[in-house]
Formats: sequence, structure tokens, C-alpha cells
Amino acid sequence: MPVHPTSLLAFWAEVVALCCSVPCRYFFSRRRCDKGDDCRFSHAAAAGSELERFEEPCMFYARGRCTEGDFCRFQHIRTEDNRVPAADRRTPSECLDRLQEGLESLSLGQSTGPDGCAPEALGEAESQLQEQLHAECEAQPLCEEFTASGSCREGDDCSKAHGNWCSSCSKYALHPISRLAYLNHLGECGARVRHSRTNMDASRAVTCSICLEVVLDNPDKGQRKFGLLDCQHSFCLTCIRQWRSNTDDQVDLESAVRTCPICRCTSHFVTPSNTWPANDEEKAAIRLAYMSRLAKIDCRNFDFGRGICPFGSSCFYRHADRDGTPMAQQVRWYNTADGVRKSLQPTLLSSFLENDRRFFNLRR
Amino acid sequence: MDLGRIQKELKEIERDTASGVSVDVMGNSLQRLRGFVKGPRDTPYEGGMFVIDIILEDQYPFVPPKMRFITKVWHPNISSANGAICLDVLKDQWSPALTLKTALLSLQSLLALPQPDDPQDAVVAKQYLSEHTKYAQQAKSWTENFANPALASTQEQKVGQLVDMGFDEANSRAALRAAGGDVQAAMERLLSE
Repeated sequence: MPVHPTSLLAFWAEVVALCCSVPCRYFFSRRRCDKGDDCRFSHAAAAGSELERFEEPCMFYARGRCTEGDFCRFQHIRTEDNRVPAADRRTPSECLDRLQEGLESLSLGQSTGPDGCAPEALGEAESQLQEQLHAECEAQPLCEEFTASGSCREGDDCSKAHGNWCSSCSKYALHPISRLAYLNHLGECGARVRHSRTNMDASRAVTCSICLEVVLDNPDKGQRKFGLLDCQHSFCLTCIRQWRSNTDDQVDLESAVRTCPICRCTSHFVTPSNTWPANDEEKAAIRLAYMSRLAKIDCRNFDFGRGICPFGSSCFYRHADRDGTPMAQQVRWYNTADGVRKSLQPTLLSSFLENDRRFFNLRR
Repeated sequence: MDLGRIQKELKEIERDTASGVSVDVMGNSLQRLRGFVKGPRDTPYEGGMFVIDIILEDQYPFVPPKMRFITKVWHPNISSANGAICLDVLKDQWSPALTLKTALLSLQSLLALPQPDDPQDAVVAKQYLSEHTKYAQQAKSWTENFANPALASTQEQKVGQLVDMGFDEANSRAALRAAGGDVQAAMERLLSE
């Protein structure tokens, strides 16, 4: 039986109206909804209703952190059988509070104690207590989230130490309690800043031979990078990459595009760098660091062993399966009718069955 | 198009007056320029001032500038009919580190050292190889007739007059050539088209 269009319309109108009165469950549980104003469900109804809370403790909070924060419907309590040991859960502020309490009780004991504790013994006990508590706090590592962003979802409940602002690295990386960690960080940071400053001074005058501008004066901060080739000539990363991606028929690929625009020595790849290396050792170090960074990224051509990477064993990216086990691959080559050398991609039976375009091209 | 780079290049050419090459801007766009190359010494082209039409594409400097001789030249690697140039650095051997100045200097050295093995104008190349003295004579006479600096400036002035009247530059140039350099006749020719 055909459905009458108007009745269908009325039906949908009813559905929409019904939806509009139903509270949005995302807005209800998290006080936010990704759809925003486009959400078909009612945010007003959701905001008006109270969160339904459960009696059970939140397992994520017990393990250390819960991303739901205050909107979590489970109890945020830490019980004795929690997996995090009690000592690790003590926050730096708790440590300081305990230290304060300990000192107060000691001084109270001095003034009112009936046994008349000697001042030396008192001092000793005080320093012992201080040492003990300091050792507890010093052992606490810095909270990574707070170090990077200056805020932490755990807030004061965080089991790790929240660092102070370090102006040289622009991070909250100074340990608030441990003097050793504090000084260590200052030393490392200072050395790094000094090194990069001398490097930067040397790089400041280097110009790109393509755009003829000083590379580090580029108005776009993200483009203040050098592209290093095998020779000693300097280019912006964007300029040399644009030239090497040139597919214009006018320009010869092998003898012009893949070579240095100045000395025409062939370079197989461009290494990005923030500074201009002063000597060959520095350049080698920059290259090595770049290659090791690439070696951690999974190769897109290889695709965890499902595809064939034409670069084979000389590919800079990682050839491994999903577990991270390294995999080697034999690349097979063939020459097309035009004399172009191509790598043989795997052919599946399904491509023949599913009228794959590749198959038809081959037949033609 | 990298306007900053082109402006730098133009400044550099302006500063270096000893090189024997210069560039003029046509109109208010930097897309179309006019290059001038002095004929190298001790060659049949000595004393001449050769005018080159330069078109810069949007992708410049990642593609070579399009260059063509406006002045008629008798040279194995330059077409005597349309001024097309056969030079590898303006084609497949272009590099973005080359500039307008270096490209014009390459043209100057091409005038000094013709490459008859890779000719643009086969007739000239054949003559260059078989009857070298005749070639030198013809090249010299063409230089005197077409690349005369005084003549070039009056020719440019005439083209400028016609362009100011509102005619297309290429058409004006063709009409002037057909009319033998007479502005009045060229104008009538353009109007009758």
C-alpha cells in the first residue's frame, strides 16, 4: 500500500517534535555536546535535570585519572584496595601540609610537654622529619601534562608534582621541591639555550638562493627552516621543496630538478633544519636525527605489509607490521611499454572479479 | 608570483651597470619585461643593442622565464623569423637559482659562442659551418640594420606612440614592420584591419 506523502511528513514532524523534548544524553552527562545548536535533542531539558549518580567507585579514578572529571557518574573516591600505592598518591601539597603539621606538633610538645624535651633533640627530630618528608616529595616526578600546558585535569589531586614556570624553555618544568631536579633542569636548559643562540646567530645571515631572502626573516614563523642538500648551498625548506616537486615538463627531472640549483650536484633528499649547520659534523648530526625521526613513522606505501613500497629497504620510514616487528619485502620491478620502470603492486583476485579499472586498462 | 624576488633582481640589475645587460618594466605589471643585451666585443654582433621580450609566468622562478629576441638576429641558435631562442638554461636546464640577469648574460655569451650543433635556425647554422665569412658578414649587417641602438630607441618610441593611441602592442609592432617604420602608415594599416 502506498504511503501518503502528507502522512509521512506528519510522521517525521512528530518524530522531530518528540526528539526536541527528549534531553540530550551527551549534554546531560558531560554538560557538552559536539553537535552544539544543531543537536536535535533538548539541551535545556538536559541542563535542568540532575545527574544520576551511581554508588560504585569510578575504576578510572581509582587507577589514577578519569577524563570525565566532575561529570563522571561514578564515585570519585580512592579506596584502600586501589592499585596505586598509598605513598605514590600523596600530593606535594599534602606532603607540605604534613610537614607543617609535624613541625607544629613538635613545637607544641616543646612548650607543653611534661617530660621537658631537650631543644637539641627537638631540632634533630625536626630535621629528621623534614628530611623524611622532603625525600618523599623529591621522589615525585613532574606531572607531564602540567609541565606542558600549565594545567592538569587532576588539579590538586594529582599524584605527581606540578612544576614552576621556567622562562628559558617556556614550560612548567622547574621542580617545586627537589632542589637537585630544579638545578639540573636550569643547567640543561641554559646549555641548550646557549647552544641554540650561537647557532641561531650564525644562521641569521644565511639567505635562500631561490627567494633571495634571509631564511630566518620569513614573516611566517613556520617557514623559518633550512632545507639541507648534499652540498653547502642554502635554501629555505619551502623553496627547495617546491622546486624539487616541480613536475613541469619544461624542466628536466634528473639533471635539473633533483640537483642543487647552484652547483647541480645530485641530492636524493632534503633534510629540514631549524639552524644552519656550521660544519659537516653538525650537518651529519641533523641528518641522523631527522632519519631517526622518520624511522619511527610507519611507511604509507608499505602499509603494515599490505602494500609494496617502491623504495624497498632504502625507505626512510618504518617497514613493520602492526606489532612493530620489522618486516623485509622483496620489490619486483617491471618495465612498461613506454620504458618506465615500475614496482609491481600486489594483484588480488578480487580486482579481476570486481571489474577493477586496472584490469581493464591492462587488457586494452 | 614571487614579486619580492623579481624586485630584488631588478634592483641588482640596475646597480650593476658594467655587465652590459639591463631590464625595463613594461607598464605596471612585473609579468612582462623588456631585456636589453649589448652585443659582445670581437663578434659580428659588436655595437648592437638587442631587445628581448621577457614573460614571467606565475610559477617563476620555478619555471624558466619565456624569452624571445624582438630585434632580428642572424645567429644559428636564434630564429631569424620570430626570435625564438634555443638555449638549454631557458628550457630543461633551468634552475631557480638563475636570475633574469644571469639568463641575459647567458644570452650574451650565446651571441659570442654560437652552438651550430644544436641549431634553432637551420639555414644560419648551415651557413655558419660551411661559409663562415659570409655568415659573419650577414650577422654584422643585420646587427647594423636592426640592432642599432639609435634605431632601436626610435623604433621603441614609435611602438610606444601606437600603444598610447590604444593599439595592441604586438599588432603595432607587426604593422610598423609592414609599414617600413612609418608611424602614420602603420596607424592606417591598424585602423583598416
